[in-house]
Amino acid sequence: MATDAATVASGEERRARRREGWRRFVLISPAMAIIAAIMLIPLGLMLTYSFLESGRYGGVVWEFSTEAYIGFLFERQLDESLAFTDSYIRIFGRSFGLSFATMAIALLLAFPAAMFMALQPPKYRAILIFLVTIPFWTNLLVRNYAWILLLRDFGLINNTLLNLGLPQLPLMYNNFAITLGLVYSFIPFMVLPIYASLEKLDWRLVEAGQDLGANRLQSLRRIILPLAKPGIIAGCILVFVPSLGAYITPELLGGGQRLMIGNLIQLQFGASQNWPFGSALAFILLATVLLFLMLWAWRAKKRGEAAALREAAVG
Amino acid sequence: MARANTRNTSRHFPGLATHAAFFFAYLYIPILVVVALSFNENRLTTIWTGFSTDWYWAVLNNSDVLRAARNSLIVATFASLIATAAATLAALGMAQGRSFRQQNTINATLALPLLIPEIVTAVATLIFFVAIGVQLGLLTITAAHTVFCIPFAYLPIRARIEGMDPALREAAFDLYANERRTFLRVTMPLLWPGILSGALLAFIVSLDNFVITFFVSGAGSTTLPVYIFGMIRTGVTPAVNAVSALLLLVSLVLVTISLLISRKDV
Amino acid sequence: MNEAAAYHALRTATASASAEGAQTVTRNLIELREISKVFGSGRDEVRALETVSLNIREGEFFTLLGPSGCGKTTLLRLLAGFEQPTAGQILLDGTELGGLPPYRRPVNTVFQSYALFPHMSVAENVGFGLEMHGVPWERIRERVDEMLALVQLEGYARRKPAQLSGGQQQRVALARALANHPRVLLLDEPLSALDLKLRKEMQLELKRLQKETGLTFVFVTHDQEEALTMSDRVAVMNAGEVLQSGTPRAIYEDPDNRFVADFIGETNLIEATVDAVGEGGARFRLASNVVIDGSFREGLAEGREVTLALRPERAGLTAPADGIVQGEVINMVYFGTDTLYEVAIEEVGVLHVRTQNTAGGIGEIGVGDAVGVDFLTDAVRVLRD
Repeated sequence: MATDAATVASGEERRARRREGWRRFVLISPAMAIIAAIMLIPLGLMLTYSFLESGRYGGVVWEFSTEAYIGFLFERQLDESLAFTDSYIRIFGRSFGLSFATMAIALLLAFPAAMFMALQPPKYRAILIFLVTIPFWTNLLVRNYAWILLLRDFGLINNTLLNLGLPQLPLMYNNFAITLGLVYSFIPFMVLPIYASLEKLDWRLVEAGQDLGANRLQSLRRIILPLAKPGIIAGCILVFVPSLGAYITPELLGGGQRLMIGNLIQLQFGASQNWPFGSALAFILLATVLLFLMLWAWRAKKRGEAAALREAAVG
Repeated sequence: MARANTRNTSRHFPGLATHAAFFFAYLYIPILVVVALSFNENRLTTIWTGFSTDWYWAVLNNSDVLRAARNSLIVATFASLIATAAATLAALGMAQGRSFRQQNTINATLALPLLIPEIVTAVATLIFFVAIGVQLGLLTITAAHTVFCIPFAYLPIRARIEGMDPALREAAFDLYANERRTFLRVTMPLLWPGILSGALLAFIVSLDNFVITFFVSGAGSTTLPVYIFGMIRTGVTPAVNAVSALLLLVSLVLVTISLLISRKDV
Repeated sequence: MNEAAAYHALRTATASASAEGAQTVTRNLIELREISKVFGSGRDEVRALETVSLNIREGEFFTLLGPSGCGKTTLLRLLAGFEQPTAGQILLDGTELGGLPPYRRPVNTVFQSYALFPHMSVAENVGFGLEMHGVPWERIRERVDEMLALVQLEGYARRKPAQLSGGQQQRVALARALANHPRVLLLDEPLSALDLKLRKEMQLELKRLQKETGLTFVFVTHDQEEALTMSDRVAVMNAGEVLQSGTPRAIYEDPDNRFVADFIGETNLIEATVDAVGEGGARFRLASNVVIDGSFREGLAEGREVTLALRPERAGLTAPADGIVQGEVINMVYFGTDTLYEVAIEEVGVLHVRTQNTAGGIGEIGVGDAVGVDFLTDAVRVLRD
């Protein structure tokens, strides 16, 4: 009798759990299906395309070929021999260099601003965060266009210089303009995570440090920076990754002369009509970005576990 | 040191406030420049000759601009509605019961459209549509937008669900409301601000998107950002400033509403 | 509608059953038969309840007491229907509840977090259960007024929960649960979020409400004082098992085992061997070879090793010669109404003795003094483990 009741009850429990699992599956399916159909399958197709032969007027010929990847490093001569070429490597190198510069400058600009925000009374903080988020939600194209108005030969800055009797400066269509535009585009991604880690910071730790004789610079270096490190790393990743794949900024502010990876990819689907090569470039970019993100996640996980271990040891 | 008496020294770092002032100026001056110059009477955009709203009238009477704006609104409306519906269901599904094994994988997949560089998504989506033989147009743009709208809609809804006391649902069950009535009377009303906020954010990112749209739009399906890009390419005119200022205004209003809604307690 | 019908059937059945059994004071309203609850599986398996059997009587204030994680809240959630037992039966008035969802059980819960619906007014919250039953509006309004009067919140009907203080929210939660005439009211640590003064007030208020309504209350707490002062009967739980249940007095005065003795109040635990078993009493030999008398418990056999429990306030200090055991005061703590002495007894350990600070007490005793410790046979309790 008792065992009978037990099996009935546990059956009820099992049924409830199965119902829960089934309902969850049904609810999550639409979103997953959309992402799978219009993102994951296309990405798979893109990878496939990178191993096909290029069609004469765009598109592909369904023949297996590694030409796209070979073409990244070598140029095929008239006699079909391969000669090393660094022109694409140079574009990748420039993209990494500019992205790195963007990240560094954004960090230098964002950190003190984030610290200022974290030090304000809570009611002002919300307003300041709102002010930092607004640009993120406004049109990226327009925000880059704004810099054209400022930087071009007869733009606001150069006009001002002229009026002051000073010589004009070549502000547009160079690495400077691209970096400036990239920093401007992605700096909210740097400020917000740094702010988040500084806001959690217990300022009594800084007081304790100063009580132990640390001056401002020392307490910044030895206490604040180490504690803000997770936010700084998150911010750097969040700025570096989109900079690497940027298209609008180098297009508008680089004037199409200083190519970055994004423009190179676009060219393969535009003027060059080499879809396999474009796919291969996109895949290389994707792999690079995912590698960075995975390293970051892995590091965060490792740190998370270490933190949990510390807590367990103390508790 | 004389200041030590009047200020909290541990929180006082000299130069921070000045830096912050420059920082916010840097964030906003370019945007303000666009808006200011959109009211410039002069054809040469950067020489100020007088206040005028002519460019706005010119833009609003330009049938190409209006068609592009209409396309943008159609795409943003459908993409954000579909994405919000899917995201709401997904958020409800993820909140079902205790944690489960595939939770991290699903969360990562839902965030994927945010992590993959736009240019890569654009290329992949273009290849996909061409491969399956779909005519590029509003349909393909809407489909592509729906994908990246999902995480933007999902995150505020998920945050809302996570902030909800699970005991509220149980309290409704306890007070004789069945699953359906609990959903309608308790879960939905409490989730609603999150859904609305998510839908608005999805709408904004769809409205503003350029790169992906640029790849998957065909002739006649130009959206506003793609149209603006074309205008900028052919030359800087005050009309670009006016369209840009209008687009900024729409984003600003929507994001403000969205943030206000999501902050609301009930 | 189907659900409402099922619910009404169950309610009328239980109501008539309670009318018949009204004369028998000890009638069981709730019977838990060998309930087990396991969460997760494999490596993550947590055994929250281990074959728990309990009877809760009609109209009593029953408390589940234990440290956090002991399974008391799980037990309450099984009664409410939020969880299904892995094994065992739950009977309400002899009717099996197994498989019934929470919205078909004639029980209501006051949640630890109160769980007031933030988007509804106080009146809408209180009337929610009745509304779900399809009770007509006028009737709901009457009942809501009645309930708000009962918890002394007249005039608050139109407020939102966020506009109320913690204590007021607590009262609304009570009114909302009571409005439905539940057969049993389940309270999950409802006072834990309140500050000390308010908590004391609400303890009295809850007792008053229970008396006025005559309802069966099942109350969960980790606060032993709360359990002792409010309950008719208490079940002490630890690690998924009910260790002892009984009146507060029985549990305090005659703890069954080490955990209960230690968890409720202060106690001295003394290791001893059974020396002799007699009529209604037994003799125990301490490590120091002193033999003392103590209360009897079934199953005692000569030579068995046992643990004795002695409450500090049931022992007294005497001159060394007059005491049952002798020792030296090593520490004393003054508490105002009483003083705690720590007395070191050779080979036995440290005994705590609490004496009232009445006028004409036992003179001046200080640290280092040799004293005797005296206690009645009745005060020495044998534990089962």
